[in-house]
Amino acid sequence: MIDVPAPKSRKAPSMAEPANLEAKQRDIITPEGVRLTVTIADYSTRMAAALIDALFVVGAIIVVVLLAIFADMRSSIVWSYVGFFAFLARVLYFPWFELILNGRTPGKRSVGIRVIGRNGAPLTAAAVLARNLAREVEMWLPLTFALLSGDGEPLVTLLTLAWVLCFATIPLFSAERMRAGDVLAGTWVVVDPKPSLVRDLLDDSPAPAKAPPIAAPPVPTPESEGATSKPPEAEPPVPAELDLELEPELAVVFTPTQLDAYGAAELNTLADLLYADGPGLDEKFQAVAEAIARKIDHDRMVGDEQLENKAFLGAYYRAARAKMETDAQWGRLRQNKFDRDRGQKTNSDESENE
Amino acid sequence: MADGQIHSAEFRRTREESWRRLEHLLGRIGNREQALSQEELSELPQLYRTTLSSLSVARNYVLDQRLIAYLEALCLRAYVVVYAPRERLGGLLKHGLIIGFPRAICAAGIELALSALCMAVGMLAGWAIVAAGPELFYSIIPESLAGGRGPDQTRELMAKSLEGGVETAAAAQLFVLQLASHNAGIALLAAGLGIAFGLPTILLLAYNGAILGAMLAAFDVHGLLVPFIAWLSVHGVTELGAIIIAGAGGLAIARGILFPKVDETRMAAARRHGMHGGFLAAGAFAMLFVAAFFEGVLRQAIEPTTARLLFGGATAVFWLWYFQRGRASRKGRGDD
Repeated sequence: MIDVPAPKSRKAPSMAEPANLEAKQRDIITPEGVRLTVTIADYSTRMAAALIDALFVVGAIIVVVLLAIFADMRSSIVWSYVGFFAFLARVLYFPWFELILNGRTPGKRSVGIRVIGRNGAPLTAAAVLARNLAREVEMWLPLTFALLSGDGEPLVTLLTLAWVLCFATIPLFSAERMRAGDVLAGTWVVVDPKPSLVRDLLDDSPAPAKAPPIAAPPVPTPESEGATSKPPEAEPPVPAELDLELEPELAVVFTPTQLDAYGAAELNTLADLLYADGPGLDEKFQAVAEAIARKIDHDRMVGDEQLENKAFLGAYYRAARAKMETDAQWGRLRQNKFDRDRGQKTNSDESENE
Repeated sequence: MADGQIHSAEFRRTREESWRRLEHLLGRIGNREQALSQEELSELPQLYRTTLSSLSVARNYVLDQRLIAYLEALCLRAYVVVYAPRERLGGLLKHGLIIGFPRAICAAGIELALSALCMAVGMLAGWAIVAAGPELFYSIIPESLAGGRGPDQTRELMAKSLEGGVETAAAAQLFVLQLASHNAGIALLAAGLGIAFGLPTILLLAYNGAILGAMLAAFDVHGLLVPFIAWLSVHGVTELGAIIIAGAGGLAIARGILFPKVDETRMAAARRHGMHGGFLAAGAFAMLFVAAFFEGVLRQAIEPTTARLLFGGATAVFWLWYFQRGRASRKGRGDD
């Protein structure tokens, strides 16, 4: 059940690192009028992509040069074709790939970023041309100078360096990390979204108040299996000991007042904890379970047994989420535990104790 | 609560199949749309819109942040595919050459005038410098470009340089390729330098003008001005035109960055003019390939001075006719 893939945790809006994430996220509105959030690509990621692409271009040129050497070294015709190829490779590589790979080049694809229209406008071919026209000045011009003036001429080297620094640092001054070409073309470079659906915490066990499936082993039923998202090999087999933990909780009952103690924000924090992976979790479960039990005044007893920490938290999560989702449909969802107005009056006095 | 039914579980169970289908199609589409059959391609936008509506519902009624994050990523992924650029480089070339480039030219009057002016000033300066001091010729024109020509050479040598110099077809081929990539590179540079506020563009234009002026002066010294102009006009009309256009592209870009309209943000202006400059540069790029062909192949084939002048004039008429088409299609389109 602890099955959040590591990179996923960055995308999930967790409470832990809001400032860092918000700085680089932008909303776009699709033509259908739905808001989507894009993550602006890192400066270093873009540099890596540009470097990979430059290596591809230069590598292709070197291969052709080697071929020419093998073919006929003294023929100037061969060399003029090599020069022409080098020129076309330089000029066409980026726009060609950004068109056929839909805003990506091999370098961009390998680091997982892509070009999109600013504010969600469709990426046009003219934009692809414009942003790569600027690349001529930003990238190839200094590179050519650097290659031509390889030795000597400290002034040329210095000027080239200044030029490169000038254009290479433009993205650092832009909140959307736009280089000059992006400004011209009206484009952003964003992190390529990788959708991956983790299993819902609700699927970890049957709903609390459902009586019948007690006898059934908590192995995923065909139905719930269809509803889980992981590829088969990544699905952790449900350990046998879970049996003991889950079974008692089927009888846990929370009153509406107890379920109203928190809001959506706290529920998400609880979900993050339940999904979390790593050492030292037992102490956290213990602390949180105790805090919640204290706050909602719950004895955590089922029959004669006290519920284990995580089982108790899972049961509370499921029950509270069911309650809150019902509330949301009635327009009564509380965003957090301080959001008293929308909550039910019955629990307001209890919240004040915190 | 009473029935124990959790809404989001139900929500997810009933819709997950279509999300998975969309994810599967997006995974298969990978790079190329050809990877999908016709039915699957038409299924894609439908699934995309269904998933968008799932996302809207989930945002309001589902408290599972991971589900919402998944739907967001899925929608964004699908959005990028559904609204991908439809043109390929070939189609773009066709559309750009027939409509885009002439229209861009017609919309760039001021920039073209300024660009031509920069070049003319450079030309006059180059002429004046060489006329005053012939020894300065070589400090304006690099040795490789002068190719043994100069005001201090004999008249015979200068006259000979205007005759068919390149003999074999293979050598002509070589010449065309070198010229095309050299000049097209210069054109892209002139336009691209617009992002450096246009100043380098102006310098580049003036310098190219100075080279031309110095050459003219060098041939004038020997009384070969008209034959030289005729020799130059075969490709020069196209080539110099292209360089002026590329320079105008750079100036258009600089104008967008420096002087946005009153109620236009600098970003929007840069984008508008950036596209414009991009079109001009791409067109100039294509023109320079034509010019290189003229220069490498035709110039040697056309021998007498009058024939060269006629050909040069004909190219000028052709380009003017081609550019004015942009005006007609602009009117036909109504505005912009």
